[in-house]
Amino acid sequence: MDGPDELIHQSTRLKLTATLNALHVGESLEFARLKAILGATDGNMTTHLTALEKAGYIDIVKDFVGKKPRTRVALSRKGRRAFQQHVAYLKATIEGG
Amino acid sequence: MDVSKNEAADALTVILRVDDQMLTLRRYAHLAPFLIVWGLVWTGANSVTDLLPAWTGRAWLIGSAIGLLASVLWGIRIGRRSARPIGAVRQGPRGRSLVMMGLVIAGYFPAMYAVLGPLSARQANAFGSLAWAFGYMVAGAWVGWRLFGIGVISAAAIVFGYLFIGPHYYLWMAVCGGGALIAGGLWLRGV
Repeated sequence: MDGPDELIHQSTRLKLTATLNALHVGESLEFARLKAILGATDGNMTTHLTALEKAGYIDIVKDFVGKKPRTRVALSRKGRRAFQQHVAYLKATIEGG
Repeated sequence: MDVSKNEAADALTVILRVDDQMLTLRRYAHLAPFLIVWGLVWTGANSVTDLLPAWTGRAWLIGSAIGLLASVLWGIRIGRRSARPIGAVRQGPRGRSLVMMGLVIAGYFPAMYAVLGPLSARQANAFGSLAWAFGYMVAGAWVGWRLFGIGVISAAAIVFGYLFIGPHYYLWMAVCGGGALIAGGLWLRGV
């Protein structure tokens, strides 16, 4: 069994990855909606999203809807696998493994 | 980095809570179009009932057929899309369940009207509308408080209209009853 994923285990990032993991594969969430769901500030969100993006755990797509900029966030395949491994680790820890 | 049993349990609790929240939001997103469609049917048919009484029967027949067809098509679409997200802890709503729920409700009305016997048009309208409103409350008890709230507001509007609005009761129902559903659907879509 692998150890905990330190990047994911941090409180805000745990919520963030759990939220994105609940989406279907290929689905993404808009930055503003993600921020509202997590109740986080712009700065806080940006910091954590940058950390997750650097690790390759999330994909961030920026585009325009008309003239309005839009930022969408999705869990990458690597991120989804890392999240699932972290959940498996947490379960194993509880079960005393 | 070591994670204690308590920390692991806390983290899993957070994950389950997030999963529940996302499931609720997904259910809202799935239910919103149903509310909007039936709100439009309700608004349209009640408006016709008030303004063009001779067209009442046709308006409700056509409106209900459109509503039912749209609901079934949307239910099928949801069914195709709501395969369990990979890694999700909880199961999302299934289109088949939603379609079945719609058919149960559709069967309930003819059965109840047959048992109740002759009602005035106003009573029949209020009874049918109230059944929907309380249905939303029952569904809301499972899905989330927002849907429950929409049911409460709709029911209150219906009872108030039935008791206190005079000749333009149907217009009241069109604006307040149908309007509550449309506004509720748009609200659910936005959360």
